[in-house]
Amino acid sequence: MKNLLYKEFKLAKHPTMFLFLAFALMLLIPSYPYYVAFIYTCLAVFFVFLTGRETKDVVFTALLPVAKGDIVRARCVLVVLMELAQVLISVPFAILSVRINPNGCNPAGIEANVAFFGLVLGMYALFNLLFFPIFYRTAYNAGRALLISGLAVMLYIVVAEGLVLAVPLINAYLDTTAASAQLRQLPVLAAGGGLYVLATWAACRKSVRLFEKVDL
Amino acid sequence: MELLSVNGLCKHYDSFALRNVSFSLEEGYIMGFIGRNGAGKTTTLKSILNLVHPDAGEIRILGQPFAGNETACKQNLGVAFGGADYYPKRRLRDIAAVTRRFYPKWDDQAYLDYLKRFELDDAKRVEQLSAGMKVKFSLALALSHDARLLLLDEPTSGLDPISRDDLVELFQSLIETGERSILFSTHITSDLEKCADYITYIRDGQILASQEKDSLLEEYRLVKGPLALLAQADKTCLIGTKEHSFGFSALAKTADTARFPGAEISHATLEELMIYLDKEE
Amino acid sequence: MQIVLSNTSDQPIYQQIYEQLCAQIVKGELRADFCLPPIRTVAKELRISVITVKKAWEELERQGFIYTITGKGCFVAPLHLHERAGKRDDLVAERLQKDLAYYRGLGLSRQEMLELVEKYYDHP
Repeated sequence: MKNLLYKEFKLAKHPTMFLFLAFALMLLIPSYPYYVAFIYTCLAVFFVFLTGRETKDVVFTALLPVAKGDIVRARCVLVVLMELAQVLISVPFAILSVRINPNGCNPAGIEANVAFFGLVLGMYALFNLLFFPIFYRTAYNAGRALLISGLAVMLYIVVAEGLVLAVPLINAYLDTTAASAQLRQLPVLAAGGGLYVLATWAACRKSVRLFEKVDL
Repeated sequence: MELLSVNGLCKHYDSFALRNVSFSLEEGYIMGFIGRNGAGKTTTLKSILNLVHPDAGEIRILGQPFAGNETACKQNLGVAFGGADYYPKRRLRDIAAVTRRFYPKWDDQAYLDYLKRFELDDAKRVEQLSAGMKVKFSLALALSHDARLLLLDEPTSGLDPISRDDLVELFQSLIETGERSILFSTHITSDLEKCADYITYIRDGQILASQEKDSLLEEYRLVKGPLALLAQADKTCLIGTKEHSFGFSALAKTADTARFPGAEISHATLEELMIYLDKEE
Repeated sequence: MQIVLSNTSDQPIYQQIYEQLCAQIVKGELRADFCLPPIRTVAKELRISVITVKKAWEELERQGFIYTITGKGCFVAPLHLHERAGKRDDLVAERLQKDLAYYRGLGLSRQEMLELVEKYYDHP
């Protein structure tokens, strides 16, 4: 597995993997739908899979002395690392954003607070749950995987932002960076994290099974 | 010891099927895997490696079933698929750096020797290589971890005659110790004419012959003669008969050649065998 | 030890090797107990298949020209002068019968044949 990850970083990497991390800076924009900064990770994941197809990464890897399932698992780990890196790098910018932007000043969407990170993890969970199995059904069709999981992610954001904007109760609970509210938002973060782990694990498992049947 | 045994391999596609493909290869020999384009050579090789999921059949590498021992089996395999250009933007040395990590028996000196022998510069990117150079690079990777069994798909196509000759010499020196075997698919049969010990001939997804090259070549003769001779000849003994304005040519079992007095009888090359046998339904 | 293979010959490769080595043994060019190179090395050098060489070696052994010591290799059998002559005559007889069949096919009489042999024996 370590060797496969080394391969991912040495050969299968895509420049956007690192470039898009810089979009954490978007969290400093006073009025902005902050989800956008994280959508780019999904795009970077798509680019990794797409170039993988063009560079025949799957066949090269499948010829190495590895089990077919480990190829999928290593790729899942890579994506998890990308997503977690994006979240972790964003945390200091979110804190900085709270310092420089007054509370409740973001009319464009939810504040970059604890609950928001929980919702972002939920978004990644949904993306992984759809993207991996759709891709590994063929190990070829990255475009279809992006289209479906991308639409689902958009829908997720619209619903999440819509609820925060339209329902006063949810708005009061989630759309605030007040220090006292952060602690109360922790369950949302925990739920997002839990969902993320569960969905990614399930998606990976299913992908392993699907990929086993794919003819390369 | 059998380094490779393929038993009852079946794979069904919409327009093509591998049917009950079986053959085996002892250690210390070169086996040529021949057949026209689309006959199932690559599908068979991919099925051996589990890149293609066969519907039925068993693969054994060094006596060990491949299913369930994929990783261990692949350690003993060197694989090169011709025309496969992985990671065009990456440098050769990066690809080698990745590959070596997967093989405990990787030999850096051997790898460097092959680079030198093949005149490859590993600072180059894959996209800068010619088709032949790409084949050589994948061979260098396949040969550098002391594999017992080499599975090579079209390793000589795309190479000039001098490189091909060099490769055949390399193959023969690889099996000189008697511990390694090479299975290589090709449609350039003249390479096999020189070095192959065994020939496995696949046609339309079925194995037509898998035997010693010499005995296969001894089994058939080319029969040529005027059309008048063809008219009175027993056509059931002729294989893949071709008629032209001035006469005919066909293949016949060596034992049957006596039935064609007056005909020009000669040895057939592998290529001729393929051409005539492939015509026959 | 010399082996020169012909691609255009009608003879199978193993037969060519067999006959050439026979000749060298019969003529005494290969001495008794001379160790033949390993089969695989010969195959590599001549660019032919291992099995072809193996077949030639087997034929040589069957005809008593060489013997095998397991683990050591194959050696030229020690033949007495009269044995060598006998084997030489065997080889000649085998070849001659084939050739004679060909000449008979061309309609040559015994007398014509002998005359031709007289004529060309010293000036091939």
